[in-house]
Amino acid sequence: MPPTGLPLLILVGVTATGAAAVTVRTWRRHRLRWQVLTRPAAVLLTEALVLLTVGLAANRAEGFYPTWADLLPAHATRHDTGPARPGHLDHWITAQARRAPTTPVAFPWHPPRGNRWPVTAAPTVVVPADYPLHPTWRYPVVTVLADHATPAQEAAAARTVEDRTAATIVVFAHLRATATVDTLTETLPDSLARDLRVTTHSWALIAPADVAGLAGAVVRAAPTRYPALALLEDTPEPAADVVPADLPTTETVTVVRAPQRHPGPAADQLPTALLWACQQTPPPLSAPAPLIPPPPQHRHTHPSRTAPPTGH
Amino acid sequence: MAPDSLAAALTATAGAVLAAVLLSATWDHGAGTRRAALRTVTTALCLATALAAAGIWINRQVDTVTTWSALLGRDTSTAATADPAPAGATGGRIVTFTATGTASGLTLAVHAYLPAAYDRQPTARFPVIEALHGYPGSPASWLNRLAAAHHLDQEIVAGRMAPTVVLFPPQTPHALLDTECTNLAHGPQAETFLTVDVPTAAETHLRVRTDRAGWGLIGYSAGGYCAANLALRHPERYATAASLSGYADPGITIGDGTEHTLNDDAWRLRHLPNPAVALYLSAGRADRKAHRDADTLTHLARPPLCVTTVYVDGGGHSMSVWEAAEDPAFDWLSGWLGRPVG
Repeated sequence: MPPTGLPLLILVGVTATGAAAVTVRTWRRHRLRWQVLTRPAAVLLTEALVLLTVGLAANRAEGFYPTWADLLPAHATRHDTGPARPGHLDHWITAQARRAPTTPVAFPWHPPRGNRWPVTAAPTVVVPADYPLHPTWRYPVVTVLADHATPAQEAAAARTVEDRTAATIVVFAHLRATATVDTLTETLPDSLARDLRVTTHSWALIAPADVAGLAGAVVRAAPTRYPALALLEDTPEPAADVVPADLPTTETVTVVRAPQRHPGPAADQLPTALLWACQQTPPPLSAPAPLIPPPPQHRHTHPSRTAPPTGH
Repeated sequence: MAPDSLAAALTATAGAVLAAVLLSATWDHGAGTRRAALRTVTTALCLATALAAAGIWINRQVDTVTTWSALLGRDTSTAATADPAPAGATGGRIVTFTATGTASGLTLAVHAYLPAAYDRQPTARFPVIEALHGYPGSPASWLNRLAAAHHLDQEIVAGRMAPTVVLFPPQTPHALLDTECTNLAHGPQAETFLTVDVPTAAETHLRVRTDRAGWGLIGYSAGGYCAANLALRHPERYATAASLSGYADPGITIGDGTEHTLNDDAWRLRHLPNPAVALYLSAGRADRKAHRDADTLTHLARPPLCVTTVYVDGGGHSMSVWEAAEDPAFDWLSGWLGRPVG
């Protein structure tokens, strides 16, 4: 008989009515010495049953406690979060990190069918040094659209970020200006999610001002994937039309300009932009705690961790 | 002796028993009018004490009235300064500040959970979650019944959640007035208080992020509706929200008809552009309305709005469901908020 059921409500209601009737009928029936006990007991029992009837009616109407078990506190069983599904490159990155455990792992990335991407060179991926140490974490990503930076500048910028903020994966996409939006909203994220433990949202995008149009189209198409956009300006003078029009109102945008005294190429502003972009992203975290009781767990066969990364 | 204390509950129960004894003992005393008056008074006392005892026990479950002055309809700013549950010795701590309502006209005390990292990183600015309570309820429900500080410590230590400041603001100046976090046409401007005055006060008193990427909402029951509704109405202020057993509509009369339009989340999703925010909708499967409303919002949601639904097997509209759901919800929110900076 569930606590929201009509039979229980009727049963308790009838019992309350009966208790009230018995209380009235037996009020004077007992001797005086027993009345001291029976009268208060009868009154309290009747009150309790009436209140219980009201409570059950309210519970039936609102569905607060559908089962008796819901009246008990939640089971305080805790479960540790298991490792996240490993990326295809995890094993290779772990091997690389053993050689220099405190240095970010930077490598040219050759995803499957990457040779069809509209790029000037293979994207450079920089994975934080602690990536192999935290197999339960998923990392946010900063995508640098077309930075005009040399590989040395890219590596230096990534190291600067690693030193000054928590871990983030950085992808220098090396896209041609003719690249389509889909490359950054679908193709690249999907491939990266196969190869590394990355989040599916809250990334940041960095783009030189000369490809601001493409960057704007990307954040318009995927505002939850890229809620933060940094534009690199190679001149210290504010340009009114740098920021694309009609960006989502939820988009956080910054323009990183060259210093007044040292104007230079946009790549020089890269460390500043990377630092800002990393601060817009969540930190790497383990998967959320399971519900209590946890849902049934289905065993999946993990992809092989020993397969060498494509292109290495 | 606070009205939500065990001492108050036991005292009220003892009062109900004594009233029953008094009724029984004095039933046959006196004669005529005097006897009738005595019976009337003792019977009324019996009913009043029984109702009071039941009310106090229920209040202990929902932590709605935490001071006697709040019971009398006075400002809950006093109620909110009642001692909250302390956090663990190695974990975060609870502080209280006053949100002065320059925009809303409401001036109320707000509890805040500060993570352990808040003291270890004296220059950092932390992401913020506003935690909203149900009705009937109060911020004390989060701190006492749902043991929020304990759960937050646990999730942060486990690496499932970033160090985050969590605010527990009151949603009404009167404990028994249900605002549903809206600006009532002829009443408190709760929405303005929660979305303008509380953030302003938090940014003044605490080291918190001031940008949208650093602000989220969570709530249970009426607070769940509040969280989702405020995120949909203020996407420039909040990046994400979690609704634990929240409904899609306020269920009250706001006074300007917006309970059927702008403050009805299903109406908003049908008739207005969906904002780029992330919603987490959780409910017990046996909680029919909350479950149905979560389904409705999920089916109505269109990009760029992201909706994640989580259903608790069984489970009604109760604290046990919300305590089960709070850890995953806090973790999920943290995954959508910017990190501590500085």
